[in-house]
Amino acid sequence: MSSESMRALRDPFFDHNPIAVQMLGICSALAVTTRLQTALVMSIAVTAVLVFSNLGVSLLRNAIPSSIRIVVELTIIASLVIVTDQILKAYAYSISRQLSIFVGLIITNCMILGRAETFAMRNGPAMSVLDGVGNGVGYALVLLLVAACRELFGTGRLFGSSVLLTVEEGGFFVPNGLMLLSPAAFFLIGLLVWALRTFRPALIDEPLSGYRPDRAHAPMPRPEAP
Amino acid sequence: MPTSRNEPIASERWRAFRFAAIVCVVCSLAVSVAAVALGPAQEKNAARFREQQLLRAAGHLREGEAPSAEAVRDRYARGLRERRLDLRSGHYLPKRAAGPERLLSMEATDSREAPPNEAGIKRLPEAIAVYEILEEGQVVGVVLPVQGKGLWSTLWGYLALEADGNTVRNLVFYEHGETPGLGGEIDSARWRALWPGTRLVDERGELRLTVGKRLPPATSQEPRDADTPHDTRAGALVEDDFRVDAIAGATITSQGVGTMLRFWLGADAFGPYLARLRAREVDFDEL
Repeated sequence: MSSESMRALRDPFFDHNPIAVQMLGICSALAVTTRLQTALVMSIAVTAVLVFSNLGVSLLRNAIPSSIRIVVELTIIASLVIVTDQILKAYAYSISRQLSIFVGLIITNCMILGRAETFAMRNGPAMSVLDGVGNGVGYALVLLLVAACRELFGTGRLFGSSVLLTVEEGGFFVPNGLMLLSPAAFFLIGLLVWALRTFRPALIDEPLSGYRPDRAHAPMPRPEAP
Repeated sequence: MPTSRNEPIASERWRAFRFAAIVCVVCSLAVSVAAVALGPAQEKNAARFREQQLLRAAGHLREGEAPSAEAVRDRYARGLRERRLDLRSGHYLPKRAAGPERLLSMEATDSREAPPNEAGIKRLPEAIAVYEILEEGQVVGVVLPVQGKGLWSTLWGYLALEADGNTVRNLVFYEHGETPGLGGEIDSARWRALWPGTRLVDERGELRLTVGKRLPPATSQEPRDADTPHDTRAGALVEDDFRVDAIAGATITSQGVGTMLRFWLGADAFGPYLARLRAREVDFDEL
Protein backbone atom coordinates (compact mmCIF):
# COMPACT_ATOMS: atom_id res chain seq x y z
CA MET A 1 0.00 0.00 0.00
CA SER A 2 1.32 3.42 -0.86
CA SER A 3 2.40 5.75 1.89
CA GLU A 4 -0.55 8.01 1.10
CA SER A 5 -2.95 5.12 1.63
CA MET A 6 -1.21 4.17 4.84
CA ARG A 7 -1.58 7.73 6.06
CA ALA A 8 -5.27 7.81 5.18
CA LEU A 9 -5.71 4.59 7.10
CA ARG A 10 -3.56 5.26 10.15
CA ASP A 11 -3.79 8.98 10.74
CA PRO A 12 -7.24 8.76 12.29
CA PHE A 13 -6.04 6.21 14.86
CA PHE A 14 -4.29 8.83 16.99
CA ASP A 15 -3.12 11.98 15.22
CA HIS A 16 -6.46 12.76 13.64
CA ASN A 17 -8.63 10.73 15.97
CA PRO A 18 -12.25 11.65 15.22
CA ILE A 19 -13.30 11.98 18.83
CA ALA A 20 -10.14 13.10 20.60
CA VAL A 21 -8.77 15.45 17.95
CA GLN A 22 -11.50 16.28 15.45
CA MET A 23 -14.03 16.39 18.32
CA LEU A 24 -16.72 14.67 16.27
CA GLY A 25 -19.21 12.02 17.35
CA ILE A 26 -18.91 12.64 21.08
CA CYS A 27 -22.64 12.24 21.79
CA SER A 28 -22.77 8.57 20.99
CA ALA A 29 -19.58 8.08 22.96
CA LEU A 30 -21.42 9.27 26.05
CA ALA A 31 -24.50 7.18 25.62
CA VAL A 32 -23.41 3.71 24.58
CA THR A 33 -20.25 3.30 26.60
CA THR A 34 -21.86 2.01 29.79
CA ARG A 35 -21.02 -1.50 28.66
CA LEU A 36 -18.26 -2.91 26.47
CA GLN A 37 -20.64 -5.08 24.52
CA THR A 38 -22.83 -2.20 23.34
CA ALA A 39 -19.78 -0.06 22.63
CA LEU A 40 -18.33 -2.80 20.46
CA VAL A 41 -21.52 -3.27 18.46
CA MET A 42 -21.90 0.48 18.07
CA SER A 43 -18.30 0.78 16.82
CA ILE A 44 -18.86 -1.94 14.25
CA ALA A 45 -22.13 -0.33 13.11
CA VAL A 46 -20.59 3.13 12.81
CA THR A 47 -17.54 1.81 10.97
CA ALA A 48 -19.71 -0.11 8.54
CA VAL A 49 -21.89 2.92 7.82
CA LEU A 50 -18.83 5.15 7.51
CA VAL A 51 -17.03 2.85 5.08
CA PHE A 52 -20.03 2.35 2.81
CA SER A 53 -21.08 5.98 2.91
CA ASN A 54 -17.55 7.10 2.04
CA LEU A 55 -17.52 4.54 -0.76
CA GLY A 56 -20.89 5.62 -2.12
CA VAL A 57 -20.18 9.33 -1.93
CA SER A 58 -16.78 8.87 -3.48
CA LEU A 59 -18.15 6.87 -6.40
CA LEU A 60 -20.70 9.61 -7.06
CA ARG A 61 -18.44 12.54 -6.32
CA ASN A 62 -18.20 13.71 -9.92
CA ALA A 63 -21.90 13.34 -10.60
CA ILE A 64 -23.50 14.97 -7.56
CA PRO A 65 -24.75 18.44 -8.45
CA SER A 66 -23.24 20.91 -6.06
CA SER A 67 -26.55 22.42 -5.03
CA ILE A 68 -27.88 19.20 -3.45
CA ARG A 69 -24.58 17.82 -2.24
CA ILE A 70 -25.30 17.67 1.49
CA VAL A 71 -28.80 16.32 1.00
CA VAL A 72 -27.57 13.49 -1.17
CA GLU A 73 -24.86 12.61 1.33
CA LEU A 74 -27.43 12.54 4.10
CA THR A 75 -29.78 10.37 2.07
CA ILE A 76 -27.05 7.84 1.50
CA ILE A 77 -26.06 7.88 5.18
CA ALA A 78 -29.67 7.59 6.35
CA SER A 79 -30.39 4.64 4.07
CA LEU A 80 -27.27 2.85 5.29
CA VAL A 81 -28.24 3.43 8.91
CA ILE A 82 -31.75 2.09 8.33
CA VAL A 83 -30.35 -1.03 6.71
CA THR A 84 -27.90 -1.43 9.60
CA ASP A 85 -30.76 -1.10 12.08
CA GLN A 86 -32.75 -3.76 10.22
CA ILE A 87 -29.77 -6.11 10.25
CA LEU A 88 -29.27 -5.61 13.98
CA LYS A 89 -32.94 -6.26 14.70
CA ALA A 90 -32.76 -9.46 12.69
CA TYR A 91 -29.50 -10.93 13.97
CA ALA A 92 -28.68 -9.23 17.30
CA TYR A 93 -32.08 -8.45 18.75
CA SER A 94 -31.22 -8.04 22.42
CA ILE A 95 -28.30 -5.75 21.60
CA SER A 96 -30.44 -3.69 19.27
CA ARG A 97 -32.89 -3.25 22.15
CA GLN A 98 -30.09 -2.01 24.38
CA LEU A 99 -28.85 0.39 21.72
CA SER A 100 -32.47 1.44 21.04
CA ILE A 101 -32.54 4.88 19.46
CA PHE A 102 -28.78 5.28 19.30
CA VAL A 103 -28.53 3.19 16.17
CA GLY A 104 -30.89 5.56 14.40
CA LEU A 105 -28.93 8.47 15.81
CA ILE A 106 -25.84 7.35 13.88
CA ILE A 107 -27.36 9.43 11.09
CA THR A 108 -26.70 12.53 13.17
CA ASN A 109 -23.13 11.55 14.01
CA CYS A 110 -21.15 14.48 12.66
CA MET A 111 -18.18 12.26 11.99
CA ILE A 112 -19.90 10.43 9.15
CA LEU A 113 -21.20 13.48 7.34
CA GLY A 114 -17.92 15.22 8.09
CA ARG A 115 -15.78 12.57 6.43
CA ALA A 116 -18.17 12.32 3.50
CA GLU A 117 -18.03 16.02 2.88
CA THR A 118 -14.34 16.66 3.51
CA PHE A 119 -12.72 13.48 2.26
CA ALA A 120 -14.98 11.32 0.14
CA MET A 121 -16.04 14.19 -2.07
CA ARG A 122 -12.42 14.81 -3.04
CA ASN A 123 -10.81 11.40 -3.15
CA GLY A 124 -11.15 8.14 -5.00
CA PRO A 125 -13.09 5.14 -3.72
CA ALA A 126 -10.11 3.14 -2.52
CA MET A 127 -8.72 6.02 -0.44
CA SER A 128 -12.17 6.85 0.86
CA VAL A 129 -12.69 3.32 2.06
CA LEU A 130 -9.34 3.40 3.83
CA ASP A 131 -10.25 6.72 5.41
CA GLY A 132 -13.55 5.21 6.55
CA VAL A 133 -11.82 2.23 8.10
CA GLY A 134 -9.23 4.45 9.75
CA ASN A 135 -11.77 6.79 11.29
CA GLY A 136 -13.90 3.85 12.34
CA VAL A 137 -10.96 2.28 14.12
CA GLY A 138 -10.06 5.60 15.77
CA TYR A 139 -13.67 5.95 16.94
CA ALA A 140 -13.68 2.37 18.18
CA LEU A 141 -10.45 2.88 20.13
CA VAL A 142 -11.93 5.76 22.08
CA LEU A 143 -15.30 4.06 22.60
CA LEU A 144 -13.82 0.77 23.78
CA LEU A 145 -11.39 2.49 26.12
CA VAL A 146 -14.10 4.61 27.71
CA ALA A 147 -16.49 1.67 27.90
CA ALA A 148 -13.86 -0.56 29.50
CA CYS A 149 -13.26 2.04 32.24
CA ARG A 150 -16.93 2.66 32.80
CA GLU A 151 -17.96 -0.96 32.93
CA LEU A 152 -15.00 -2.05 35.02
CA PHE A 153 -15.20 0.68 37.63
CA GLY A 154 -18.96 1.05 37.43
CA THR A 155 -19.91 -2.60 37.81
CA GLY A 156 -16.71 -4.60 38.25
CA ARG A 157 -17.31 -6.48 35.02
CA LEU A 158 -15.90 -6.58 31.51
CA PHE A 159 -18.16 -7.87 28.73
CA GLY A 160 -20.56 -8.95 31.44
CA SER A 161 -18.15 -11.26 33.22
CA SER A 162 -17.01 -10.40 36.71
CA VAL A 163 -13.44 -9.15 36.95
CA LEU A 164 -13.52 -7.28 40.22
CA LEU A 165 -15.77 -9.01 42.73
CA THR A 166 -18.16 -6.45 44.13
CA VAL A 167 -19.04 -6.17 47.79
CA GLU A 168 -22.47 -7.62 47.00
CA GLU A 169 -20.86 -10.68 45.54
CA GLY A 170 -18.59 -11.13 48.54
CA GLY A 171 -15.54 -9.26 47.28
CA PHE A 172 -13.88 -6.00 48.16
CA PHE A 173 -14.81 -3.75 45.27
CA VAL A 174 -17.33 -0.96 45.79
CA PRO A 175 -18.70 -0.02 42.35
CA ASN A 176 -18.41 3.65 41.41
CA GLY A 177 -21.92 4.75 40.53
CA LEU A 178 -20.69 7.92 38.82
CA MET A 179 -19.13 5.77 36.11
CA LEU A 180 -22.56 4.74 34.94
CA LEU A 181 -23.71 8.31 34.32
CA SER A 182 -22.96 10.32 31.18
CA PRO A 183 -20.75 12.93 32.84
CA ALA A 184 -18.24 10.20 33.62
CA ALA A 185 -17.86 9.57 29.88
CA PHE A 186 -17.19 13.26 29.41
CA PHE A 187 -14.50 13.21 32.08
CA LEU A 188 -12.87 10.12 30.61
CA ILE A 189 -12.84 11.60 27.11
CA GLY A 190 -11.33 14.78 28.53
CA LEU A 191 -8.60 12.73 30.18
CA LEU A 192 -8.01 10.90 26.89
CA VAL A 193 -7.69 14.19 25.01
CA TRP A 194 -5.22 15.37 27.61
CA ALA A 195 -3.21 12.15 27.38
CA LEU A 196 -3.13 12.31 23.60
CA ARG A 197 -1.83 15.85 23.61
CA THR A 198 0.80 14.94 26.16
CA PHE A 199 2.21 12.25 23.88
CA ARG A 200 1.68 14.25 20.70
CA PRO A 201 2.47 17.86 21.58
CA ALA A 202 2.04 18.81 17.94
CA LEU A 203 -1.70 18.45 18.46
CA ILE A 204 -1.89 21.23 21.02
CA ASP A 205 -3.93 24.01 19.46
CA GLU A 206 -2.68 27.55 19.19
CA PRO A 207 -4.79 29.63 21.55
CA LEU A 208 -6.97 32.04 19.63
CA SER A 209 -6.09 35.09 21.62
CA GLY A 210 -2.38 34.59 21.17
CA TYR A 211 -1.77 33.87 24.87
CA ARG A 212 1.26 31.60 25.29
CA PRO A 213 1.79 30.28 28.81
CA ASP A 214 5.56 29.98 28.27
CA ARG A 215 5.73 33.63 27.36
CA ALA A 216 3.38 34.84 30.02
CA HIS A 217 5.76 37.65 30.94
CA ALA A 218 6.11 38.92 27.43
CA PRO A 219 3.69 41.60 26.29
CA MET A 220 0.51 40.31 24.69
CA PRO A 221 0.68 40.42 20.90
CA ARG A 222 -1.33 43.30 19.58
CA PRO A 223 -4.05 42.58 17.04
CA GLU A 224 -2.83 43.61 13.63
CA ALA A 225 -4.17 46.84 12.23
CA PRO A 226 -6.93 46.18 9.66
CA MET B 1 -18.53 18.61 -9.90
CA PRO B 2 -20.20 21.98 -10.31
CA THR B 3 -21.77 22.57 -13.68
CA SER B 4 -20.11 24.97 -16.07
CA ARG B 5 -21.27 28.55 -16.09
CA ASN B 6 -22.45 28.23 -19.65
CA GLU B 7 -25.23 25.80 -18.81
CA PRO B 8 -28.57 27.55 -18.42
CA ILE B 9 -30.00 27.58 -14.87
CA ALA B 10 -33.16 25.68 -15.76
CA SER B 11 -31.20 22.76 -17.14
CA GLU B 12 -28.95 22.72 -14.07
CA ARG B 13 -32.02 22.53 -11.84
CA TRP B 14 -33.40 19.76 -13.98
CA ARG B 15 -30.14 17.83 -13.63
CA ALA B 16 -30.22 18.22 -9.89
CA PHE B 17 -33.83 17.10 -9.71
CA ARG B 18 -33.18 14.07 -11.86
CA PHE B 19 -30.13 13.07 -9.85
CA ALA B 20 -32.04 13.45 -6.61
CA ALA B 21 -34.87 11.31 -7.98
CA ILE B 22 -32.48 8.54 -8.98
CA VAL B 23 -30.75 8.59 -5.57
CA CYS B 24 -34.14 8.40 -3.83
CA VAL B 25 -35.28 5.45 -5.92
CA VAL B 26 -32.06 3.53 -5.37
CA CYS B 27 -32.01 4.19 -1.64
CA SER B 28 -35.69 3.31 -1.23
CA LEU B 29 -35.10 0.05 -3.08
CA ALA B 30 -32.15 -0.81 -0.86
CA VAL B 31 -34.07 -0.08 2.32
CA SER B 32 -37.21 -1.94 1.19
CA VAL B 33 -35.30 -5.00 0.08
CA ALA B 34 -33.49 -5.11 3.41
CA ALA B 35 -36.71 -4.74 5.38
CA VAL B 36 -38.57 -7.42 3.44
CA ALA B 37 -35.70 -9.88 3.37
CA LEU B 38 -34.98 -9.52 7.07
CA GLY B 39 -38.65 -9.38 8.08
CA PRO B 40 -39.08 -13.06 9.02
CA ALA B 41 -35.96 -13.11 11.19
CA GLN B 42 -37.09 -9.93 12.93
CA GLU B 43 -40.57 -11.28 13.57
CA LYS B 44 -39.12 -14.43 15.06
CA ASN B 45 -37.01 -12.32 17.39
CA ALA B 46 -39.98 -10.18 18.34
CA ALA B 47 -42.09 -13.25 19.08
CA ARG B 48 -39.35 -14.74 21.23
CA PHE B 49 -39.04 -11.46 23.10
CA ARG B 50 -42.77 -11.41 23.73
CA GLU B 51 -42.59 -14.91 25.14
CA GLN B 52 -39.76 -13.81 27.41
CA GLN B 53 -41.78 -10.86 28.67
CA LEU B 54 -44.71 -13.18 29.31
CA LEU B 55 -42.46 -15.40 31.39
CA ARG B 56 -41.15 -12.33 33.16
CA ALA B 57 -44.66 -11.17 33.96
CA ALA B 58 -45.45 -14.59 35.39
CA GLY B 59 -42.34 -14.40 37.54
CA HIS B 60 -40.60 -17.33 35.85
CA LEU B 61 -37.80 -15.17 34.45
CA ARG B 62 -35.77 -12.87 36.64
CA GLU B 63 -33.87 -9.71 35.75
CA GLY B 64 -30.54 -10.46 34.10
CA GLU B 65 -31.32 -14.07 33.30
CA ALA B 66 -30.74 -15.09 29.70
CA PRO B 67 -31.73 -18.73 29.36
CA SER B 68 -31.38 -20.65 26.14
CA ALA B 69 -34.32 -21.06 23.78
CA GLU B 70 -34.82 -24.58 25.06
CA ALA B 71 -34.84 -23.47 28.68
CA VAL B 72 -37.38 -20.79 27.79
CA ARG B 73 -39.66 -23.36 26.19
CA ASP B 74 -39.26 -25.60 29.19
CA ARG B 75 -40.19 -22.86 31.66
CA TYR B 76 -43.14 -21.93 29.49
CA ALA B 77 -44.39 -25.49 29.38
CA ARG B 78 -44.07 -25.95 33.14
CA GLY B 79 -45.06 -22.50 34.33
CA LEU B 80 -47.85 -21.25 32.10
CA ARG B 81 -51.12 -22.67 30.89
CA GLU B 82 -52.89 -20.88 28.09
CA ARG B 83 -56.67 -20.61 28.27
CA ARG B 84 -59.28 -19.26 25.90
CA LEU B 85 -61.51 -16.86 27.69
CA ASP B 86 -64.92 -15.64 26.59
CA LEU B 87 -64.67 -11.96 27.45
CA ARG B 88 -68.34 -11.23 27.92
CA SER B 89 -69.15 -14.07 30.26
CA GLY B 90 -65.79 -14.56 31.93
CA HIS B 91 -65.91 -18.29 31.33
CA TYR B 92 -63.24 -20.45 29.80
CA LEU B 93 -63.86 -21.86 26.35
CA PRO B 94 -62.62 -25.18 25.07
CA LYS B 95 -59.37 -24.95 23.21
CA ARG B 96 -59.57 -24.79 19.49
CA ALA B 97 -58.89 -28.14 17.97
CA ALA B 98 -56.45 -26.90 15.39
CA GLY B 99 -54.59 -23.78 14.45
CA PRO B 100 -52.22 -21.53 16.37
CA GLU B 101 -53.16 -20.37 19.84
CA ARG B 102 -52.39 -16.72 19.25
CA LEU B 103 -55.77 -15.18 19.95
CA LEU B 104 -54.67 -11.61 19.95
CA SER B 105 -55.10 -11.07 16.26
CA MET B 106 -58.40 -9.46 15.43
CA GLU B 107 -60.09 -11.03 12.47
CA ALA B 108 -63.47 -9.51 11.74
CA THR B 109 -65.25 -12.83 12.21
CA ASP B 110 -64.20 -13.23 15.81
CA SER B 111 -64.11 -9.67 17.01
CA ARG B 112 -66.65 -6.99 17.69
CA GLU B 113 -66.58 -3.26 17.92
CA ALA B 114 -65.31 -2.12 21.28
CA PRO B 115 -67.49 0.08 23.48
CA PRO B 116 -66.37 3.71 23.55
CA ASN B 117 -63.20 4.05 25.59
CA GLU B 118 -60.25 6.36 26.07
CA ALA B 119 -57.59 3.73 25.61
CA GLY B 120 -57.93 3.79 21.83
CA ILE B 121 -59.25 0.24 21.61
CA LYS B 122 -61.29 -0.13 18.45
CA ARG B 123 -62.16 -3.79 18.41
CA LEU B 124 -62.43 -6.48 21.04
CA PRO B 125 -62.06 -10.18 20.40
CA GLU B 126 -64.82 -12.50 21.44
CA ALA B 127 -62.31 -14.92 22.84
CA ILE B 128 -58.94 -13.90 24.19
CA ALA B 129 -55.98 -15.84 25.51
CA VAL B 130 -55.15 -15.57 29.20
CA TYR B 131 -52.38 -17.49 30.92
CA GLU B 132 -52.58 -19.25 34.25
CA ILE B 133 -49.36 -19.02 36.25
CA LEU B 134 -48.33 -22.42 37.56
CA GLU B 135 -45.95 -23.08 40.41
CA GLU B 136 -45.43 -26.71 41.34
CA GLY B 137 -48.56 -27.56 39.42
CA GLN B 138 -50.73 -25.12 41.38
CA VAL B 139 -52.32 -22.06 39.82
CA VAL B 140 -51.02 -19.02 41.70
CA GLY B 141 -52.10 -16.28 39.33
CA VAL B 142 -53.17 -15.25 35.86
CA VAL B 143 -51.57 -13.12 33.17
CA LEU B 144 -53.84 -10.87 31.12
CA PRO B 145 -52.75 -9.34 27.82
CA VAL B 146 -53.35 -5.59 27.80
CA GLN B 147 -52.87 -2.84 25.27
CA GLY B 148 -53.69 0.81 24.98
CA LYS B 149 -52.73 4.18 23.66
CA GLY B 150 -49.57 5.82 24.95
CA LEU B 151 -48.18 9.11 23.76
CA TRP B 152 -46.50 8.11 20.53
CA SER B 153 -47.51 4.50 20.16
CA THR B 154 -49.62 1.62 21.31
CA LEU B 155 -48.43 0.01 24.50
CA TRP B 156 -48.61 -3.79 24.52
CA GLY B 157 -48.02 -5.64 27.74
CA TYR B 158 -48.91 -8.36 30.20
CA LEU B 159 -50.59 -7.72 33.54
CA ALA B 160 -50.02 -10.54 36.02
CA LEU B 161 -52.48 -10.88 38.89
CA GLU B 162 -52.65 -13.12 41.93
CA ALA B 163 -55.20 -15.92 41.91
CA ASP B 164 -57.50 -13.79 44.06
CA GLY B 165 -58.01 -11.55 41.05
CA ASN B 166 -57.38 -8.43 43.07
CA THR B 167 -53.64 -7.99 43.51
CA VAL B 168 -51.03 -7.17 40.92
CA ARG B 169 -48.04 -9.45 40.61
CA ASN B 170 -46.33 -7.67 37.73
CA LEU B 171 -46.80 -5.37 34.77
CA VAL B 172 -44.46 -5.93 31.87
CA PHE B 173 -44.55 -4.32 28.44
CA TYR B 174 -43.26 -6.12 25.37
CA GLU B 175 -43.78 -3.50 22.73
CA HIS B 176 -44.10 0.26 22.61
CA GLY B 177 -42.60 3.25 20.88
CA GLU B 178 -42.45 5.75 23.71
CA THR B 179 -39.58 8.16 24.21
CA PRO B 180 -36.56 6.44 25.73
CA GLY B 181 -35.79 7.92 29.12
CA LEU B 182 -39.28 9.36 29.56
CA GLY B 183 -42.25 7.23 28.53
CA GLY B 184 -39.77 4.44 27.93
CA GLU B 185 -39.20 4.24 31.68
CA ILE B 186 -42.25 1.97 31.89
CA ASP B 187 -39.66 -0.71 31.11
CA SER B 188 -37.35 0.29 33.93
CA ALA B 189 -36.91 -2.03 36.88
CA ARG B 190 -37.52 0.80 39.32
CA TRP B 191 -40.96 1.63 38.02
CA ARG B 192 -41.91 -2.00 37.55
CA ALA B 193 -41.01 -2.58 41.20
CA LEU B 194 -43.86 -0.27 42.22
CA TRP B 195 -46.52 -2.59 40.88
CA PRO B 196 -46.40 -5.84 42.89
CA GLY B 197 -48.96 -5.71 45.67
CA THR B 198 -51.09 -2.99 44.14
CA ARG B 199 -54.76 -3.69 44.65
CA LEU B 200 -57.42 -3.26 42.03
CA VAL B 201 -60.83 -3.23 43.61
CA ASP B 202 -61.95 -2.08 47.04
CA GLU B 203 -64.45 -3.67 49.44
CA ARG B 204 -67.37 -2.10 47.64
CA GLY B 205 -66.31 -3.63 44.36
CA GLU B 206 -65.24 -0.35 42.82
CA LEU B 207 -62.21 -0.35 40.54
CA ARG B 208 -59.80 2.04 42.17
CA LEU B 209 -56.50 1.28 40.47
CA THR B 210 -54.90 4.54 39.29
CA VAL B 211 -51.58 5.67 37.96
CA GLY B 212 -50.83 9.06 39.33
CA LYS B 213 -49.08 11.12 41.93
CA ARG B 214 -49.81 10.10 45.46
CA LEU B 215 -51.45 12.86 47.43
CA PRO B 216 -50.21 14.61 50.55
CA PRO B 217 -52.53 14.15 53.53
CA ALA B 218 -55.11 16.80 54.27
CA THR B 219 -53.44 19.36 56.52
CA SER B 220 -54.59 20.14 60.03
CA GLN B 221 -57.26 22.59 61.09
CA GLU B 222 -54.99 25.62 60.64
CA PRO B 223 -56.43 27.96 58.06
CA ARG B 224 -54.32 27.71 54.95
CA ASP B 225 -53.42 30.96 53.32
CA ALA B 226 -51.38 31.47 50.21
CA ASP B 227 -48.17 32.02 52.17
CA THR B 228 -48.26 28.78 54.14
CA PRO B 229 -46.28 26.16 52.25
CA HIS B 230 -47.82 22.74 51.78
CA ASP B 231 -46.14 19.81 53.36
CA THR B 232 -45.17 17.85 50.28
CA ARG B 233 -42.23 15.93 51.65
CA ALA B 234 -42.14 12.40 50.31
CA GLY B 235 -42.66 10.99 53.77
CA ALA B 236 -45.90 12.87 54.10
CA LEU B 237 -47.68 11.06 51.26
CA VAL B 238 -50.71 8.97 51.96
CA GLU B 239 -50.22 5.23 51.72
CA ASP B 240 -52.46 4.08 48.94
CA ASP B 241 -52.55 0.47 47.81
CA PHE B 242 -54.56 1.34 44.75
CA ARG B 243 -52.22 3.97 43.37
CA VAL B 244 -48.96 3.65 41.49
CA ASP B 245 -46.73 6.68 41.01
CA ALA B 246 -46.67 8.09 37.51
CA ILE B 247 -43.36 8.81 35.83
CA ALA B 248 -42.15 12.39 36.06
CA GLY B 249 -41.79 13.86 32.60
CA ALA B 250 -43.97 11.14 31.09
CA THR B 251 -47.43 12.37 31.97
CA ILE B 252 -49.30 11.17 28.94
CA THR B 253 -47.66 7.78 28.84
CA SER B 254 -48.41 7.26 32.53
CA GLN B 255 -52.01 8.34 32.05
CA GLY B 256 -52.17 5.99 29.08
CA VAL B 257 -51.10 3.08 31.25
CA GLY B 258 -53.73 3.94 33.84
CA THR B 259 -56.49 4.41 31.28
CA MET B 260 -55.58 1.20 29.52
CA LEU B 261 -55.59 -0.84 32.72
CA ARG B 262 -58.86 0.63 33.89
CA PHE B 263 -60.43 -0.35 30.58
CA TRP B 264 -59.16 -3.91 30.56
CA LEU B 265 -59.95 -4.48 34.23
CA GLY B 266 -63.37 -2.95 33.82
CA ALA B 267 -66.74 -4.37 32.90
CA ASP B 268 -66.12 -3.97 29.20
CA ALA B 269 -63.24 -6.42 29.11
CA PHE B 270 -61.86 -8.69 31.85
CA GLY B 271 -64.29 -7.45 34.48
CA PRO B 272 -66.59 -10.48 34.41
CA TYR B 273 -63.62 -12.87 34.55
CA LEU B 274 -62.05 -11.03 37.46
CA ALA B 275 -65.33 -10.94 39.33
CA ARG B 276 -65.53 -14.71 39.00
CA LEU B 277 -61.92 -15.01 40.15
CA ARG B 278 -62.58 -12.94 43.23
CA ALA B 279 -65.68 -14.97 44.01
CA ARG B 280 -63.55 -18.13 43.61
CA GLU B 281 -65.92 -19.43 40.99
CA VAL B 282 -63.21 -20.22 38.47
CA ASP B 283 -62.39 -23.89 38.27
CA PHE B 284 -58.72 -24.07 37.29
CA ASP B 285 -58.87 -27.79 36.79
CA GLU B 286 -61.60 -27.53 34.20
CA LEU B 287 -60.18 -28.53 30.87
